[in-house]
Amino acid sequence: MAMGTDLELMLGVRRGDAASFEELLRRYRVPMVSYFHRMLRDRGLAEDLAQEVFLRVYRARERYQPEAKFTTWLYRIATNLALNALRDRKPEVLLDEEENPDGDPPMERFADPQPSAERQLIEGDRARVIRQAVEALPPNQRAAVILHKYQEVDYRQIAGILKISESAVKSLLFRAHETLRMRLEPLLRGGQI
Amino acid sequence: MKCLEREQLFAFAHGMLETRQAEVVRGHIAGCAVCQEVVTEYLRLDSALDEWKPVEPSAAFDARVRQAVKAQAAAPAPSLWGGLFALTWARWLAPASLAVIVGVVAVGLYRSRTIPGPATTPSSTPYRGGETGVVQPPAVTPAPEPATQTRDKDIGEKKTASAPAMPTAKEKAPSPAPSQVPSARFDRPLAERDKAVAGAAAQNSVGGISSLSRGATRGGVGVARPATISPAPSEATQSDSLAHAVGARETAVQPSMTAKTFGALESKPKQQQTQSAGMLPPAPPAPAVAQAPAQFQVQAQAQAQATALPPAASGVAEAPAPAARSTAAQDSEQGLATPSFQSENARKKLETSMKALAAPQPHSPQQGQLLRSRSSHAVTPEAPSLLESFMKQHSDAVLKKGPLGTLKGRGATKATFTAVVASDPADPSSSAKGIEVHLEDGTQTENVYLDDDRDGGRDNLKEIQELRLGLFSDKDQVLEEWRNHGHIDDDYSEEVGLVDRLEDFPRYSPLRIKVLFVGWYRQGGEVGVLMHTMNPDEGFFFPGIELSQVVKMIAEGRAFLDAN
Repeated sequence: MAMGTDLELMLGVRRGDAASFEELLRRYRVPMVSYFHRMLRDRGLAEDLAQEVFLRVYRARERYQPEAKFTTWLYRIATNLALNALRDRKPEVLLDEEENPDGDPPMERFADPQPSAERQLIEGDRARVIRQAVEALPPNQRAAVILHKYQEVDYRQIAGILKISESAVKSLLFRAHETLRMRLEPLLRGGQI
Repeated sequence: MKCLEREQLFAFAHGMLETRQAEVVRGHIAGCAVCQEVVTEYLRLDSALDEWKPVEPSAAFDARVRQAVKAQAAAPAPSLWGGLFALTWARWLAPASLAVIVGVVAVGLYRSRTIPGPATTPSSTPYRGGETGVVQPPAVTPAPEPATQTRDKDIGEKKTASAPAMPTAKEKAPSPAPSQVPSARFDRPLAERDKAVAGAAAQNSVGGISSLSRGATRGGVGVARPATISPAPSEATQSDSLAHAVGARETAVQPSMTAKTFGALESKPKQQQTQSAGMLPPAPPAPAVAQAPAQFQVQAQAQAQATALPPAASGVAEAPAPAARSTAAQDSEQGLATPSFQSENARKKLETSMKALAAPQPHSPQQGQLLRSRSSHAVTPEAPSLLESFMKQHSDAVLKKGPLGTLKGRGATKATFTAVVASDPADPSSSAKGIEVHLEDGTQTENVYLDDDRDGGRDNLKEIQELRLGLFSDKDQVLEEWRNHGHIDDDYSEEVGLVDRLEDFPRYSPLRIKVLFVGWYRQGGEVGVLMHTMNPDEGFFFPGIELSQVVKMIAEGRAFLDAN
């Protein structure tokens, strides 16, 4: 089995080494599908887009320039695909926005997020509450949180992926966590963590 | 003791602080219960988020990926531009094919009416049909009815012979001397051609009209290429033109062509396509090409509705060019404001930029003695609302707008420029500067954002951003790609005088469409500016606009941004 750093593997792919591609697939299949799933909440679409990422990596093998970390490049492809997919869902969002001229995210339109969270807590679906809280974040914040928290991408890389400054990433993450903290307060206050 | 900022505590909890800053925070929270609780809260939240577990791909996922990659590997050589064209051409192929057919019929009918009988051209040299191996008949203009049959036969021969490999414009056999059989290719200096054009037009008006008609068929490489008006259209050139029409139809049934072949074929039907959508000015004798496809009519209707918004007042900039001063004066009388700068420094910068830009352009209108159509640069009342709407659509929080101006070309073509300082609503601390260019030709619109940090034209990105990933790192690569695919060749660079503004945006990123290529262009007797983004298939031709106007507009926008 081909082993080595991501960069070495990618250079192997460029040379036409199938084992290198297999190893990259093995390393990133779960992270990619999970990333899309968290971003889009649609498992089928998540797999389709993850497949597209690998396909694009393969297509771009001859043009690949090891200028940045491989994961930055990989997640940049993935993030662009995810944000595009989210944008393509815009009609749904627009419908929501028509009912909600202030443009608040759908979850914030509920009269009080706490009862909703508490109710779901009672149902014992903590993961769903957390998921919905993250999903209610604006796309950029969502991407930053998911990349940082779940994909373990550091904020410098996130800056490269989202094409914003490092300080903007920090600010984005801070505001996202503030929102999450408020939305998940019942869950956190319950001391069950 | 004063508590620390929450943001600082958050950064501490997530290890985002430098060692020294982290030490300061650590020291503080050791003695501050409130801040300690905040940090604990963040850590608790972080643990809570762990409960959202990752999903495993389905069992079939790996196999699907392998299959897709295998299919990709088995496919012809990867064709970035072919992929792009596949996206955009598909929309055009049907109307283009129709336009080609109608054009061919129209030319045939026209010739059958206007050419009274057999006549020979001055040349007796047989014309060879390029690499197809088909020896064309001598340049004899046949009688009307037999001529139709001959052309039909030519179509059949060409179709059969050229299907495997359509020759590029360069690969075609050299045409006889212009005095014998005029070629529509650019193989002579511009001034010389113009002279010939003028002479030919005076000598033979029928030939001139026919040639212009063919010019619509004989599109330029990648974008558009002007037709040379010939004194008398020979059968050879006409059958050549018909072959291109066949090429256009064949393109429609050969979706898997390589980029090279596609690029070679693309030059001909491309212009038909753009003309059929109203992007380019219609050629006089082919009314069919002026007919926009239904989808664009709908789009145009929607656009008309959008532009029916109440006119908004604007700080409007105009960019008068020497040739358009009379209209500029009219605009001035109509109360259109000149750009105002917030500082003297900005004005100086603009003046410096303009001096630099005042260097002779490769092909100024004076050099080319080009024909000129109506030129004006009136500000359209709907431009501000359109831009506002566009920015809203892309969720950009516009902090400040610079001078806004519209360059209006002939017909419905116009380009609206504005300098924008904006922030992402998701990140109010962010700030991006750029020049927004809204391109319209009456049937479709395009938004290009020239900036150094972000892009406003995300609709465009959808199609090309991923394909472009990692491909271009500098402008030479971009130009090389264009050349490789036949969008820039010697003719193009000679005739168009490509002006790219890439160097003006040093932080150019390959992930963004940040480049507006601006070229001085002449097409079918029209003079104008060709503007398009990195995607060579998305060109907009603006007859009647001068390059200097565009350059000035960009310079004004940049000066504004520098000052803000």
